[in-house]
Amino acid sequence: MSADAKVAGFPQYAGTRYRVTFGGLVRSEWIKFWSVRSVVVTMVASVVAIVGLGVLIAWGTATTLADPETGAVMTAQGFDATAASLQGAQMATLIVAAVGVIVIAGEFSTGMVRTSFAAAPGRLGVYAAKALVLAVSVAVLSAVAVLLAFLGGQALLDREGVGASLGDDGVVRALAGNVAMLVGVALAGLGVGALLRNTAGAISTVLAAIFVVPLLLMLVPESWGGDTIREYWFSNAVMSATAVAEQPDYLGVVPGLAVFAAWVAVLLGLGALSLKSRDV
Amino acid sequence: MIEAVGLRKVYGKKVAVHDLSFTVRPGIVTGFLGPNGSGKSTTMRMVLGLDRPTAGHVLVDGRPFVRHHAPLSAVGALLDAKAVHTGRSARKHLQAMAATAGIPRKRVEEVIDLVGLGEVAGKRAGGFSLGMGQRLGIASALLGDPATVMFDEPVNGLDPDGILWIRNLMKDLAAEGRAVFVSSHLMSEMALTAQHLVVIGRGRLIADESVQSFVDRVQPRGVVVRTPQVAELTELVRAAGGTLRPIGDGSFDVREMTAERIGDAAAARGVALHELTTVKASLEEAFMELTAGAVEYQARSGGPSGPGAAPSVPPAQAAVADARPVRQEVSR
Repeated sequence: MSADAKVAGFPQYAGTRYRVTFGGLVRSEWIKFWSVRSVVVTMVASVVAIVGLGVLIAWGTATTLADPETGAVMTAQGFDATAASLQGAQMATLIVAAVGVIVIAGEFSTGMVRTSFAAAPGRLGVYAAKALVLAVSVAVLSAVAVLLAFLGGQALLDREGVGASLGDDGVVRALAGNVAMLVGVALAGLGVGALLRNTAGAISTVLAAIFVVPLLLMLVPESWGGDTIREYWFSNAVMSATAVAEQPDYLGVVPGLAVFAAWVAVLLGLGALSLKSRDV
Repeated sequence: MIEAVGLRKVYGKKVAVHDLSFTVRPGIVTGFLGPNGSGKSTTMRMVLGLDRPTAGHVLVDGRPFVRHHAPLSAVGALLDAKAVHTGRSARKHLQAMAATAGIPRKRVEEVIDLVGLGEVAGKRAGGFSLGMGQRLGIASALLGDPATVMFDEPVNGLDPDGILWIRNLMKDLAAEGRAVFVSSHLMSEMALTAQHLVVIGRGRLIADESVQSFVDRVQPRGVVVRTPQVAELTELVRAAGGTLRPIGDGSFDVREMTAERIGDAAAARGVALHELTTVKASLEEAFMELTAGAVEYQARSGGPSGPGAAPSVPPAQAAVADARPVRQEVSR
């Protein structure tokens, strides 16, 4: 009957028509992302963790090497100079996962999500824009941080003559692998946050998946397929991609990245289904 | 313009909204009235597609809201003052909303000034009072110059100045040709602003009519009669099939008889009357009677002999029913 609304004598108010666009949604999410103090602080914390821990551990390693006794042991064991300076990235996964969760679950806890979806009722556009802003922000900041950590760490290790350089085989790929891991974990946080809608619950879930489950999987006997499960597990899949040398106990660089990307895609997809289908 | 057709929403076993149909027309303020918990907010969320109806549908200007390309220009909604991220400033909140549809920054400043939040726009919304939160919600509702405005309990938390302001704002918005849909649990508030009423109780449509016809619906409640000849009055009322009840001061509340019949009967028998007043219920009482009726109907429809029939009347509603005779005296 509404098509004849005008015929029935109801005039339509003729104001300006502001159409929603994906570019507009991205700008909106960009403003939202950087206008909440907790997110800004957390993003800065991830940079501090990557650079600070990386340089600190490289400094510790250099100190150990400088001592003839401990240094000899370490050299004999063989160590990875690049990995030493990237230790902070592991810690930062915890932080960026929380950012991913906060940007969506925070909307549910505050009720903002109703405003967001009333402005863009398709819902998935908001979600996609959130994912894009999150991925780009984490990628850019963590790329800078990983590079700084590497350069700072290697400068310290160079004093002992063991520093790696960007030109070395696999170094740039390992740095990129760490950035990919951080972006993926942040997006996984977004997916789980959209699914669970609860900040604490979603952060705990993602952290358990990254830090607790891999330890538990160590206990699964091989006869139950323990090794395969361990290799294919979410955070374990990028072990080779984030290191200079392929890790023999884990998936190779390319298959590992593919498996990791599949995990992230599935989590984001589940989050999308939940957002699209459930009442808010 | 909003058209709801057979809207129904079920949460688990609870039916929040029952086959609700109504139309919100442009150019007038339509009041959406019902006690707390009667399904008003659920209905409004269904209009915006935030909650999916279990059955039925609701259209905004002829289309489901979710299919609008310019949603902020179709419906501007104040859902509840909490639909804002507490960690973000009012200005950033509005800028983020505006950005979705390319609404210029100038418009953001306009609505901030319009609702009088200029001085606090840079502060975090989490620190806002209820009234400031309402103003921010109204600012965001007006951002997209919408054809339909939907306010859920807008006067909540506003001071008297603010209430006056929002009443005038709603009238002005309607006068500009917009459809204005505003919910309230206060009949008195609606009587001052709305031209049309959609009344619901327990999720069911009770009335969909103009405020004028709602006012006309208000029935006389009884007749207050005061006389020194109590025995004669009692006798003549009983003889005419009426009932009476002392209400103090030598006055009686007479039911089932009009003032005319009482006066004529008293004159015929030579009974002196010192007072003869028809008592009309206030709008608020008429509203409560309507909604309480829906509740009673509910209780009976569960089956007269069913064990759950009597307890299914919520205590709050029972209290309202009990309170009615008292209110009536006050309203005299």
